[in-house]
Amino acid sequence: MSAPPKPVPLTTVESTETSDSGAQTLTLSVGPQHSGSGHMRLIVEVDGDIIVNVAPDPGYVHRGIEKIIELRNIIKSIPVIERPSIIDASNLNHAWVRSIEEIQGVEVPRRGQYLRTLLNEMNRIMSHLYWLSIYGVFLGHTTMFMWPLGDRELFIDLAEKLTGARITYSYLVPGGVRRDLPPGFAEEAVKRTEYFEKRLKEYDRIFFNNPLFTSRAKGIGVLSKEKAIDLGCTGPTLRGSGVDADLRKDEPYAAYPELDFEVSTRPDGDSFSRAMVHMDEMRESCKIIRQIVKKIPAGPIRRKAPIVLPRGVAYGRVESARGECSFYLIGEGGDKPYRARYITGSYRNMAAIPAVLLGNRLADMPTAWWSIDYWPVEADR
Amino acid sequence: MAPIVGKAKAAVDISIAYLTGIRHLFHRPYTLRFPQQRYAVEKGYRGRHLLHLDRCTGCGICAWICPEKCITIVPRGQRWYPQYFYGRCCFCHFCTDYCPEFALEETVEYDIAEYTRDRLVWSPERLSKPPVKKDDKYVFSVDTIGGASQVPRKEE
Repeated sequence: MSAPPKPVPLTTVESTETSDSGAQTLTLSVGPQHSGSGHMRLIVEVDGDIIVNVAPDPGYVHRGIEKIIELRNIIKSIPVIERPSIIDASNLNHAWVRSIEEIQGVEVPRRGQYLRTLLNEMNRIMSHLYWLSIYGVFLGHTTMFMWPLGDRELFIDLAEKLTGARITYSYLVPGGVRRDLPPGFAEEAVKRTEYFEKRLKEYDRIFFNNPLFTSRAKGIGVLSKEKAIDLGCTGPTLRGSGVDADLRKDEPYAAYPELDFEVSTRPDGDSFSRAMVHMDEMRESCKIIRQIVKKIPAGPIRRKAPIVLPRGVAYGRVESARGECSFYLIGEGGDKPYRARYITGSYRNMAAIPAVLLGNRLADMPTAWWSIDYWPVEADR
Repeated sequence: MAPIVGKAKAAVDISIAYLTGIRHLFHRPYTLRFPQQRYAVEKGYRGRHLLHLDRCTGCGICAWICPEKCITIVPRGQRWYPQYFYGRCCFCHFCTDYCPEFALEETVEYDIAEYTRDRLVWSPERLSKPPVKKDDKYVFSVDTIGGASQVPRKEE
Protein backbone atom coordinates (compact mmCIF):
# COMPACT_ATOMS: atom_id res chain seq x y z
CA MET A 1 0.00 0.00 0.00
CA SER A 2 2.03 2.91 -1.25
CA ALA A 3 -0.39 5.83 -1.30
CA PRO A 4 -3.86 6.21 0.21
CA PRO A 5 -6.60 5.75 -2.42
CA LYS A 6 -7.80 8.90 -4.09
CA PRO A 7 -11.50 9.76 -3.81
CA VAL A 8 -13.01 8.67 -7.11
CA PRO A 9 -16.53 8.77 -8.60
CA LEU A 10 -18.48 5.52 -8.88
CA THR A 11 -17.97 4.74 -12.53
CA THR A 12 -15.80 2.06 -14.03
CA VAL A 13 -13.57 4.31 -16.06
CA GLU A 14 -12.87 7.15 -13.73
CA SER A 15 -10.46 9.69 -15.04
CA THR A 16 -7.82 10.30 -17.60
CA GLU A 17 -4.83 12.34 -16.65
CA THR A 18 -1.45 13.12 -18.12
CA SER A 19 1.61 11.71 -16.38
CA ASP A 20 4.97 13.46 -16.09
CA SER A 21 6.27 11.71 -19.19
CA GLY A 22 3.37 13.10 -21.19
CA ALA A 23 1.70 9.72 -21.52
CA GLN A 24 -1.95 9.39 -20.65
CA THR A 25 -2.87 7.09 -17.77
CA LEU A 26 -6.25 5.69 -16.93
CA THR A 27 -7.58 4.89 -13.46
CA LEU A 28 -9.74 1.78 -13.25
CA SER A 29 -11.82 0.33 -10.45
CA VAL A 30 -11.52 -3.43 -10.20
CA GLY A 31 -14.30 -4.52 -7.88
CA PRO A 32 -15.92 -4.34 -5.40
CA GLN A 33 -18.67 -6.46 -6.99
CA HIS A 34 -16.54 -9.60 -7.00
CA SER A 35 -15.41 -9.15 -10.57
CA GLY A 36 -12.32 -11.15 -9.93
CA SER A 37 -11.31 -9.22 -6.84
CA GLY A 38 -13.40 -10.58 -4.02
CA HIS A 39 -15.42 -8.07 -2.03
CA MET A 40 -12.75 -5.40 -2.23
CA ARG A 41 -11.60 -2.85 -4.70
CA LEU A 42 -8.27 -2.38 -6.40
CA ILE A 43 -7.77 1.08 -7.81
CA VAL A 44 -5.48 0.39 -10.74
CA GLU A 45 -3.76 3.06 -12.79
CA VAL A 46 -2.70 1.87 -16.23
CA ASP A 47 -0.48 3.38 -18.88
CA GLY A 48 -1.57 1.65 -22.05
CA ASP A 49 -2.06 -1.77 -20.53
CA ILE A 50 0.90 -1.60 -18.13
CA ILE A 51 -0.06 -1.20 -14.47
CA VAL A 52 1.74 1.83 -13.05
CA ASN A 53 -0.02 2.23 -9.71
CA VAL A 54 -2.20 0.03 -7.50
CA ALA A 55 -4.06 1.02 -4.34
CA PRO A 56 -6.03 -1.70 -2.53
CA ASP A 57 -9.28 -0.40 -1.06
CA PRO A 58 -10.40 -2.98 1.53
CA GLY A 59 -13.10 -2.72 4.17
CA TYR A 60 -16.27 -3.61 2.27
CA VAL A 61 -16.85 -6.70 4.41
CA HIS A 62 -15.64 -5.37 7.75
CA ARG A 63 -17.83 -6.76 10.53
CA GLY A 64 -16.12 -5.54 13.67
CA ILE A 65 -15.38 -9.02 14.92
CA GLU A 66 -12.77 -7.83 17.43
CA LYS A 67 -15.47 -5.72 19.14
CA ILE A 68 -18.06 -8.52 18.98
CA ILE A 69 -15.59 -10.80 20.79
CA GLU A 70 -15.28 -8.29 23.64
CA LEU A 71 -19.05 -8.48 24.24
CA ARG A 72 -19.39 -12.28 24.40
CA ASN A 73 -18.00 -15.01 26.57
CA ILE A 74 -15.11 -17.08 25.25
CA ILE A 75 -17.26 -20.03 24.12
CA LYS A 76 -19.87 -17.93 22.33
CA SER A 77 -17.07 -16.25 20.38
CA ILE A 78 -16.03 -19.48 18.68
CA PRO A 79 -18.67 -19.45 15.88
CA VAL A 80 -17.97 -15.75 15.28
CA ILE A 81 -14.21 -16.28 14.96
CA GLU A 82 -14.79 -18.95 12.31
CA ARG A 83 -16.92 -16.65 10.18
CA PRO A 84 -14.20 -14.51 8.51
CA SER A 85 -12.95 -17.55 6.66
CA ILE A 86 -15.38 -20.42 6.87
CA ILE A 87 -13.31 -22.39 4.35
CA ASP A 88 -10.45 -22.36 6.87
CA ALA A 89 -12.56 -22.34 10.03
CA SER A 90 -10.66 -24.72 12.30
CA ASN A 91 -7.27 -23.02 11.83
CA LEU A 92 -8.67 -19.66 12.92
CA ASN A 93 -10.44 -21.36 15.81
CA HIS A 94 -7.15 -22.99 16.82
CA ALA A 95 -5.41 -19.63 17.27
CA TRP A 96 -8.26 -18.53 19.55
CA VAL A 97 -8.25 -21.60 21.80
CA ARG A 98 -4.45 -21.58 21.98
CA SER A 99 -4.40 -18.05 23.32
CA ILE A 100 -7.14 -18.85 25.86
CA GLU A 101 -5.33 -21.96 27.05
CA GLU A 102 -2.14 -19.96 27.50
CA ILE A 103 -3.90 -17.58 29.91
CA GLN A 104 -5.85 -20.33 31.69
CA GLY A 105 -2.81 -22.59 31.96
CA VAL A 106 -4.77 -25.58 30.66
CA GLU A 107 -2.88 -28.40 29.01
CA VAL A 108 -4.66 -30.27 26.21
CA PRO A 109 -4.47 -34.08 26.24
CA ARG A 110 -2.36 -35.59 23.46
CA ARG A 111 -5.29 -37.24 21.73
CA GLY A 112 -7.02 -33.88 21.67
CA GLN A 113 -3.91 -32.32 20.10
CA TYR A 114 -3.85 -34.98 17.38
CA LEU A 115 -7.55 -34.47 16.59
CA ARG A 116 -7.00 -30.73 16.34
CA THR A 117 -4.12 -31.27 13.93
CA LEU A 118 -6.21 -33.69 11.89
CA LEU A 119 -9.01 -31.19 11.34
CA ASN A 120 -6.52 -28.37 10.69
CA GLU A 121 -4.84 -30.30 7.89
CA MET A 122 -8.17 -31.30 6.34
CA ASN A 123 -9.13 -27.65 6.46
CA ARG A 124 -5.87 -26.61 4.82
CA ILE A 125 -6.61 -28.92 1.89
CA MET A 126 -10.19 -27.61 1.61
CA SER A 127 -9.02 -24.02 1.65
CA HIS A 128 -6.32 -24.62 -0.98
CA LEU A 129 -8.83 -26.44 -3.18
CA TYR A 130 -11.20 -23.51 -2.98
CA TRP A 131 -8.33 -21.19 -3.90
CA LEU A 132 -7.42 -23.45 -6.81
CA SER A 133 -10.95 -23.54 -8.20
CA ILE A 134 -11.15 -19.75 -8.20
CA TYR A 135 -7.69 -19.57 -9.78
CA GLY A 136 -8.90 -21.88 -12.54
CA VAL A 137 -11.95 -19.82 -13.33
CA PHE A 138 -9.90 -16.59 -13.24
CA LEU A 139 -7.71 -18.02 -15.98
CA GLY A 140 -10.69 -19.21 -18.02
CA HIS A 141 -10.15 -22.88 -17.25
CA THR A 142 -13.64 -24.04 -16.29
CA THR A 143 -12.63 -27.65 -15.64
CA MET A 144 -10.20 -26.47 -12.99
CA PHE A 145 -13.13 -24.64 -11.39
CA MET A 146 -15.32 -27.75 -11.24
CA TRP A 147 -12.81 -30.38 -10.16
CA PRO A 148 -11.37 -28.86 -6.98
CA LEU A 149 -14.82 -27.79 -5.79
CA GLY A 150 -16.00 -31.35 -6.37
CA ASP A 151 -12.99 -32.89 -4.65
CA ARG A 152 -13.51 -30.69 -1.60
CA GLU A 153 -16.44 -33.01 -0.93
CA LEU A 154 -13.94 -35.78 -0.08
CA PHE A 155 -12.77 -33.83 2.95
CA ILE A 156 -16.00 -32.01 3.76
CA ASP A 157 -17.69 -35.39 4.06
CA LEU A 158 -14.84 -36.65 6.23
CA ALA A 159 -15.05 -33.58 8.47
CA GLU A 160 -18.80 -34.11 8.73
CA LYS A 161 -18.21 -37.60 10.09
CA LEU A 162 -15.71 -36.25 12.62
CA THR A 163 -17.41 -33.08 13.82
CA GLY A 164 -21.06 -33.29 12.74
CA ALA A 165 -20.88 -30.15 10.61
CA ARG A 166 -19.74 -29.69 7.05
CA ILE A 167 -18.07 -26.27 7.05
CA THR A 168 -18.30 -24.38 10.35
CA TYR A 169 -17.23 -26.95 12.87
CA SER A 170 -16.86 -25.13 16.23
CA TYR A 171 -14.91 -28.29 17.03
CA LEU A 172 -11.99 -26.87 18.99
CA VAL A 173 -12.88 -25.65 22.48
CA PRO A 174 -10.61 -24.54 25.32
CA GLY A 175 -9.21 -27.72 26.86
CA GLY A 176 -9.50 -29.98 23.84
CA VAL A 177 -11.99 -30.98 21.17
CA ARG A 178 -15.69 -31.79 21.30
CA ARG A 179 -15.88 -35.26 19.80
CA ASP A 180 -13.78 -38.36 19.42
CA LEU A 181 -13.01 -40.19 16.17
CA PRO A 182 -16.04 -42.11 14.85
CA PRO A 183 -15.59 -45.84 14.09
CA GLY A 184 -14.16 -46.56 10.66
CA PHE A 185 -12.73 -43.08 10.25
CA ALA A 186 -9.09 -44.13 9.87
CA GLU A 187 -9.67 -46.48 6.92
CA GLU A 188 -11.88 -43.92 5.20
CA ALA A 189 -9.28 -41.17 5.68
CA VAL A 190 -6.49 -43.30 4.22
CA LYS A 191 -8.65 -44.29 1.25
CA ARG A 192 -9.65 -40.73 0.53
CA THR A 193 -6.20 -39.17 0.84
CA GLU A 194 -4.75 -41.82 -1.49
CA TYR A 195 -7.51 -41.17 -4.00
CA PHE A 196 -6.95 -37.43 -3.65
CA GLU A 197 -3.22 -37.79 -4.38
CA LYS A 198 -4.14 -39.49 -7.65
CA ARG A 199 -6.41 -36.57 -8.40
CA LEU A 200 -3.55 -34.13 -7.73
CA LYS A 201 -1.56 -35.85 -10.48
CA GLU A 202 -4.50 -35.26 -12.79
CA TYR A 203 -4.55 -31.60 -11.76
CA ASP A 204 -0.90 -31.43 -12.80
CA ARG A 205 -1.69 -32.94 -16.18
CA ILE A 206 -4.71 -30.80 -16.94
CA PHE A 207 -3.64 -27.49 -15.44
CA PHE A 208 -0.18 -27.12 -13.93
CA ASN A 209 1.74 -28.67 -16.85
CA ASN A 210 -0.63 -27.13 -19.36
CA PRO A 211 1.11 -24.42 -21.45
CA LEU A 212 -2.10 -22.40 -21.24
CA PHE A 213 -1.31 -21.97 -17.55
CA THR A 214 2.49 -22.04 -17.44
CA SER A 215 2.89 -19.41 -20.16
CA ARG A 216 0.60 -17.10 -18.19
CA ALA A 217 2.09 -17.73 -14.75
CA LYS A 218 5.86 -18.18 -15.11
CA GLY A 219 7.70 -14.92 -14.57
CA ILE A 220 4.49 -13.00 -13.81
CA GLY A 221 4.03 -11.10 -10.54
CA VAL A 222 7.55 -11.63 -9.22
CA LEU A 223 8.01 -10.96 -5.50
CA SER A 224 11.66 -11.18 -4.51
CA LYS A 225 12.79 -12.79 -1.28
CA GLU A 226 13.92 -9.49 0.26
CA LYS A 227 10.73 -7.69 -0.75
CA ALA A 228 8.54 -10.47 0.66
CA ILE A 229 10.33 -10.24 4.01
CA ASP A 230 10.22 -6.42 4.02
CA LEU A 231 6.48 -6.36 3.34
CA GLY A 232 5.82 -8.83 6.14
CA CYS A 233 4.26 -11.49 3.94
CA THR A 234 3.40 -14.84 5.40
CA GLY A 235 2.22 -18.30 4.48
CA PRO A 236 2.39 -19.65 0.91
CA THR A 237 3.18 -16.16 -0.41
CA LEU A 238 6.37 -16.02 1.65
CA ARG A 239 7.34 -19.60 0.93
CA GLY A 240 6.71 -19.01 -2.77
CA SER A 241 9.49 -16.39 -2.62
CA GLY A 242 11.96 -18.92 -1.27
CA VAL A 243 11.76 -18.18 2.47
CA ASP A 244 11.61 -21.28 4.62
CA ALA A 245 9.14 -20.02 7.22
CA ASP A 246 6.37 -22.17 8.59
CA LEU A 247 5.05 -21.98 12.15
CA ARG A 248 4.37 -25.70 12.11
CA LYS A 249 8.16 -26.22 12.01
CA ASP A 250 9.48 -22.98 13.50
CA GLU A 251 7.27 -22.92 16.59
CA PRO A 252 5.69 -26.39 16.67
CA TYR A 253 2.28 -26.61 18.30
CA ALA A 254 -0.40 -29.29 18.77
CA ALA A 255 0.83 -32.62 17.35
CA TYR A 256 3.19 -31.19 14.71
CA PRO A 257 6.46 -31.89 16.60
CA GLU A 258 5.71 -35.61 16.42
CA LEU A 259 4.80 -35.67 12.73
CA ASP A 260 7.07 -36.01 9.74
CA PHE A 261 6.47 -33.49 6.97
CA GLU A 262 8.37 -31.04 4.84
CA VAL A 263 7.95 -27.33 4.30
CA SER A 264 7.64 -26.54 0.62
CA THR A 265 9.48 -23.53 -0.72
CA ARG A 266 10.02 -22.33 -4.29
CA PRO A 267 12.80 -19.88 -5.11
CA ASP A 268 11.39 -17.93 -8.07
CA GLY A 269 8.75 -15.81 -6.32
CA ASP A 270 6.47 -15.67 -9.36
CA SER A 271 2.81 -16.69 -9.66
CA PHE A 272 3.79 -20.21 -10.72
CA SER A 273 5.95 -20.70 -7.60
CA ARG A 274 3.17 -19.57 -5.30
CA ALA A 275 0.69 -21.86 -7.04
CA MET A 276 3.04 -24.82 -6.75
CA VAL A 277 3.57 -24.16 -3.04
CA HIS A 278 -0.17 -24.63 -2.57
CA MET A 279 -0.05 -27.90 -4.51
CA ASP A 280 2.91 -29.19 -2.47
CA GLU A 281 1.17 -28.30 0.77
CA MET A 282 -1.88 -30.33 -0.21
CA ARG A 283 0.37 -33.36 -0.82
CA GLU A 284 2.08 -32.86 2.54
CA SER A 285 -1.28 -32.48 4.31
CA CYS A 286 -2.39 -35.83 2.89
CA LYS A 287 0.74 -37.41 4.35
CA ILE A 288 0.10 -35.74 7.72
CA ILE A 289 -3.51 -36.99 7.82
CA ARG A 290 -2.38 -40.57 7.19
CA GLN A 291 0.28 -40.29 9.90
CA ILE A 292 -2.23 -38.93 12.40
CA VAL A 293 -4.80 -41.70 11.96
CA LYS A 294 -1.97 -44.23 12.30
CA LYS A 295 -0.16 -42.70 15.30
CA ILE A 296 -3.05 -41.20 17.29
CA PRO A 297 -2.63 -42.13 20.98
CA ALA A 298 -5.42 -43.37 23.22
CA GLY A 299 -6.68 -41.26 26.10
CA PRO A 300 -9.00 -38.39 26.88
CA ILE A 301 -9.81 -35.80 24.22
CA ARG A 302 -10.68 -32.90 26.48
CA ARG A 303 -9.67 -31.50 29.82
CA LYS A 304 -11.97 -29.38 31.94
CA ALA A 305 -11.50 -25.67 31.27
CA PRO A 306 -13.68 -23.05 32.96
CA ILE A 307 -15.53 -20.38 30.97
CA VAL A 308 -13.38 -17.79 32.70
CA LEU A 309 -10.50 -15.80 31.30
CA PRO A 310 -8.16 -15.01 34.21
CA ARG A 311 -6.21 -11.77 34.39
CA GLY A 312 -3.31 -11.99 31.96
CA VAL A 313 -1.98 -11.54 28.46
CA ALA A 314 -1.43 -14.18 25.81
CA TYR A 315 -0.37 -14.40 22.19
CA GLY A 316 -1.55 -17.50 20.36
CA ARG A 317 -0.60 -18.09 16.78
CA VAL A 318 -0.97 -20.87 14.25
CA GLU A 319 -0.11 -21.46 10.61
CA SER A 320 -3.45 -21.18 8.86
CA ALA A 321 -3.96 -21.96 5.18
CA ARG A 322 -3.19 -18.36 4.16
CA GLY A 323 -0.39 -17.72 6.59
CA GLU A 324 0.07 -16.84 10.21
CA CYS A 325 -3.14 -16.22 12.15
CA SER A 326 -2.74 -14.79 15.63
CA PHE A 327 -4.66 -13.56 18.64
CA TYR A 328 -3.33 -11.08 21.17
CA LEU A 329 -5.64 -11.57 24.12
CA ILE A 330 -6.00 -9.63 27.35
CA GLY A 331 -8.06 -11.17 30.13
CA GLU A 332 -9.46 -9.28 33.11
CA GLY A 333 -10.92 -12.07 35.24
CA GLY A 334 -14.43 -12.28 33.77
CA ASP A 335 -15.81 -14.59 31.12
CA LYS A 336 -15.15 -12.03 28.36
CA PRO A 337 -11.78 -10.76 27.16
CA TYR A 338 -10.85 -7.13 27.74
CA ARG A 339 -9.33 -6.96 24.29
CA ALA A 340 -8.71 -9.45 21.51
CA ARG A 341 -6.52 -8.41 18.61
CA TYR A 342 -7.18 -10.69 15.67
CA ILE A 343 -4.73 -10.78 12.74
CA THR A 344 -5.08 -13.15 9.84
CA GLY A 345 -2.84 -14.27 6.99
CA SER A 346 -4.70 -12.33 4.30
CA TYR A 347 -4.33 -9.10 6.26
CA ARG A 348 -0.56 -9.53 6.38
CA ASN A 349 -0.38 -10.43 2.69
CA MET A 350 -2.39 -7.40 1.54
CA ALA A 351 0.83 -5.38 1.38
CA ALA A 352 2.12 -7.68 -1.35
CA ILE A 353 -0.74 -6.91 -3.78
CA PRO A 354 0.76 -3.70 -5.24
CA ALA A 355 4.24 -5.26 -5.24
CA VAL A 356 3.22 -8.19 -7.45
CA LEU A 357 1.04 -6.13 -9.80
CA LEU A 358 3.25 -3.12 -10.60
CA GLY A 359 4.83 -3.28 -14.02
CA ASN A 360 2.66 -6.15 -15.24
CA ARG A 361 0.04 -6.01 -17.95
CA LEU A 362 -3.60 -5.59 -16.96
CA ALA A 363 -4.44 -8.97 -18.54
CA ASP A 364 -1.92 -10.63 -16.17
CA MET A 365 -3.65 -9.18 -13.12
CA PRO A 366 -5.83 -12.21 -12.25
CA THR A 367 -2.84 -14.56 -12.45
CA ALA A 368 -0.62 -12.41 -10.30
CA TRP A 369 -3.00 -11.24 -7.64
CA TRP A 370 -5.00 -14.40 -6.98
CA SER A 371 -1.74 -16.33 -6.54
CA ILE A 372 -1.41 -14.43 -3.24
CA ASP A 373 -4.59 -16.15 -2.03
CA TYR A 374 -6.01 -12.96 -0.56
CA TRP A 375 -9.38 -13.54 1.09
CA PRO A 376 -11.07 -10.15 1.62
CA VAL A 377 -13.45 -11.28 4.36
CA GLU A 378 -10.58 -12.70 6.37
CA ALA A 379 -8.52 -9.53 5.93
CA ASP A 380 -11.36 -7.14 6.82
CA ARG A 381 -12.63 -9.23 9.76
CA MET B 1 15.79 -25.93 -33.06
CA ALA B 2 14.83 -24.80 -29.58
CA PRO B 3 11.53 -23.16 -30.60
CA ILE B 4 10.46 -26.31 -32.45
CA VAL B 5 11.19 -28.46 -29.39
CA GLY B 6 9.29 -26.01 -27.22
CA LYS B 7 6.29 -26.05 -29.54
CA ALA B 8 6.31 -29.83 -29.74
CA LYS B 9 6.40 -30.11 -25.96
CA ALA B 10 3.53 -27.61 -25.67
CA ALA B 11 1.49 -29.63 -28.18
CA VAL B 12 2.12 -32.83 -26.21
CA ASP B 13 1.22 -31.17 -22.88
CA ILE B 14 -2.00 -29.72 -24.29
CA SER B 15 -2.96 -33.11 -25.75
CA ILE B 16 -2.36 -34.76 -22.37
CA ALA B 17 -4.54 -32.09 -20.71
CA TYR B 18 -7.40 -32.72 -23.17
CA LEU B 19 -7.14 -36.50 -22.83
CA THR B 20 -7.23 -36.19 -19.01
CA GLY B 21 -10.41 -34.16 -19.28
CA ILE B 22 -12.07 -36.41 -21.85
CA ARG B 23 -11.46 -39.50 -19.70
CA HIS B 24 -13.67 -37.97 -17.04
CA LEU B 25 -16.68 -37.74 -19.34
CA PHE B 26 -17.35 -41.37 -18.51
CA HIS B 27 -17.16 -41.08 -14.73
CA ARG B 28 -20.16 -41.04 -12.45
CA PRO B 29 -21.23 -37.56 -11.30
CA TYR B 30 -20.41 -36.05 -7.89
CA THR B 31 -23.78 -34.32 -7.64
CA LEU B 32 -27.30 -35.34 -6.68
CA ARG B 33 -30.70 -34.28 -8.04
CA PHE B 34 -31.70 -33.13 -4.61
CA PRO B 35 -35.43 -33.43 -3.99
CA GLN B 36 -35.61 -36.80 -5.78
CA GLN B 37 -32.23 -38.14 -4.61
CA ARG B 38 -31.55 -37.33 -0.98
CA TYR B 39 -28.18 -37.26 0.77
CA ALA B 40 -27.98 -39.39 3.91
CA VAL B 41 -26.02 -37.89 6.78
CA GLU B 42 -24.35 -40.01 9.43
CA LYS B 43 -25.61 -40.36 12.99
CA GLY B 44 -24.12 -37.49 15.00
CA TYR B 45 -24.77 -34.93 12.29
CA ARG B 46 -25.65 -31.56 13.77
CA GLY B 47 -29.10 -31.11 12.28
CA ARG B 48 -32.18 -29.73 14.03
CA HIS B 49 -32.62 -30.33 17.74
CA LEU B 50 -34.74 -32.93 19.49
CA LEU B 51 -36.10 -31.91 22.89
CA HIS B 52 -36.97 -34.49 25.53
CA LEU B 53 -39.77 -32.77 27.44
CA ASP B 54 -39.61 -35.20 30.34
CA ARG B 55 -35.92 -34.44 31.01
CA CYS B 56 -35.94 -30.67 30.51
CA THR B 57 -35.97 -28.67 33.73
CA GLY B 58 -36.17 -25.25 32.06
CA CYS B 59 -32.92 -24.08 33.63
CA GLY B 60 -32.08 -21.87 30.63
CA ILE B 61 -28.40 -22.81 30.22
CA CYS B 62 -29.09 -23.51 26.52
CA ALA B 63 -30.40 -19.96 26.08
CA TRP B 64 -27.41 -18.56 27.99
CA ILE B 65 -24.75 -20.37 25.92
CA CYS B 66 -26.47 -19.80 22.54
CA PRO B 67 -24.15 -17.53 20.48
CA GLU B 68 -26.97 -16.37 18.21
CA LYS B 69 -29.60 -15.75 20.91
CA CYS B 70 -32.05 -17.98 19.02
CA ILE B 71 -33.42 -19.72 22.13
CA THR B 72 -36.25 -18.27 24.22
CA ILE B 73 -37.49 -19.98 27.38
CA VAL B 74 -41.31 -20.12 27.20
CA PRO B 75 -43.86 -21.22 29.86
CA ARG B 76 -46.02 -24.32 29.41
CA GLY B 77 -48.33 -24.66 32.42
CA GLN B 78 -46.16 -24.99 35.51
CA ARG B 79 -42.93 -25.63 33.53
CA TRP B 80 -40.59 -23.80 31.19
CA TYR B 81 -39.08 -25.07 27.94
CA PRO B 82 -36.79 -23.72 25.20
CA GLN B 83 -38.24 -22.46 21.95
CA TYR B 84 -35.92 -22.20 18.90
CA PHE B 85 -35.92 -19.64 16.13
CA TYR B 86 -34.17 -21.43 13.26
CA GLY B 87 -33.81 -18.24 11.27
CA ARG B 88 -30.91 -17.41 13.61
CA CYS B 89 -29.54 -20.82 14.62
CA CYS B 90 -26.01 -21.58 13.36
CA PHE B 91 -26.18 -25.25 14.39
CA CYS B 92 -23.12 -25.09 16.63
CA HIS B 93 -25.00 -27.31 19.13
CA PHE B 94 -23.32 -25.77 22.16
CA CYS B 95 -26.83 -25.98 23.72
CA THR B 96 -26.73 -29.77 23.32
CA ASP B 97 -23.21 -29.94 24.80
CA TYR B 98 -24.01 -27.74 27.78
CA CYS B 99 -27.44 -29.19 28.71
CA PRO B 100 -26.93 -30.64 32.21
CA GLU B 101 -29.95 -32.97 31.90
CA PHE B 102 -29.20 -34.32 28.39
CA ALA B 103 -32.62 -33.09 27.31
CA LEU B 104 -31.36 -31.88 23.92
CA GLU B 105 -30.09 -34.09 21.16
CA GLU B 106 -28.93 -33.57 17.60
CA THR B 107 -30.90 -35.23 14.78
CA VAL B 108 -30.12 -36.06 11.18
CA GLU B 109 -32.94 -33.86 9.86
CA TYR B 110 -31.22 -31.17 7.78
CA ASP B 111 -33.83 -29.67 5.46
CA ILE B 112 -35.96 -27.47 7.67
CA ALA B 113 -36.53 -24.62 5.22
CA GLU B 114 -39.95 -23.00 5.39
CA TYR B 115 -41.95 -20.64 3.21
CA THR B 116 -42.69 -18.11 5.94
CA ARG B 117 -40.56 -16.64 8.68
CA ASP B 118 -42.92 -17.50 11.54
CA ARG B 119 -42.80 -21.20 10.60
CA LEU B 120 -39.10 -21.11 11.53
CA VAL B 121 -40.05 -20.65 15.19
CA TRP B 122 -40.11 -24.15 16.65
CA SER B 123 -42.20 -24.51 19.78
CA PRO B 124 -41.18 -27.04 22.48
CA GLU B 125 -43.95 -29.39 21.30
CA ARG B 126 -42.69 -29.32 17.72
CA LEU B 127 -39.09 -29.81 18.87
CA SER B 128 -40.07 -32.84 20.91
CA LYS B 129 -41.33 -34.78 17.88
CA PRO B 130 -38.78 -37.22 16.44
CA PRO B 131 -37.59 -36.40 12.90
CA VAL B 132 -39.79 -37.50 10.01
CA LYS B 133 -38.35 -40.49 8.12
CA LYS B 134 -37.44 -39.46 4.60
CA ASP B 135 -35.83 -41.39 1.81
CA ASP B 136 -32.25 -40.35 2.65
CA LYS B 137 -30.10 -43.00 1.05
CA TYR B 138 -27.24 -41.50 -1.01
CA VAL B 139 -23.78 -41.36 0.52
CA PHE B 140 -20.48 -40.05 -0.83
CA SER B 141 -18.24 -42.98 -1.58
CA VAL B 142 -14.70 -43.37 -2.89
CA ASP B 143 -14.11 -46.31 -5.15
CA THR B 144 -10.56 -46.88 -6.38
CA ILE B 145 -11.74 -47.95 -9.84
CA GLY B 146 -14.87 -45.91 -10.45
CA GLY B 147 -13.68 -42.75 -8.69
CA ALA B 148 -15.65 -40.79 -6.11
CA SER B 149 -19.40 -40.34 -6.46
CA GLN B 150 -22.70 -40.35 -4.63
CA VAL B 151 -24.05 -43.89 -4.41
CA PRO B 152 -27.06 -45.43 -2.65
CA ARG B 153 -26.14 -46.64 0.81
CA LYS B 154 -25.75 -50.40 1.25
CA GLU B 155 -28.39 -51.89 3.55
CA GLU B 156 -26.89 -53.66 6.53
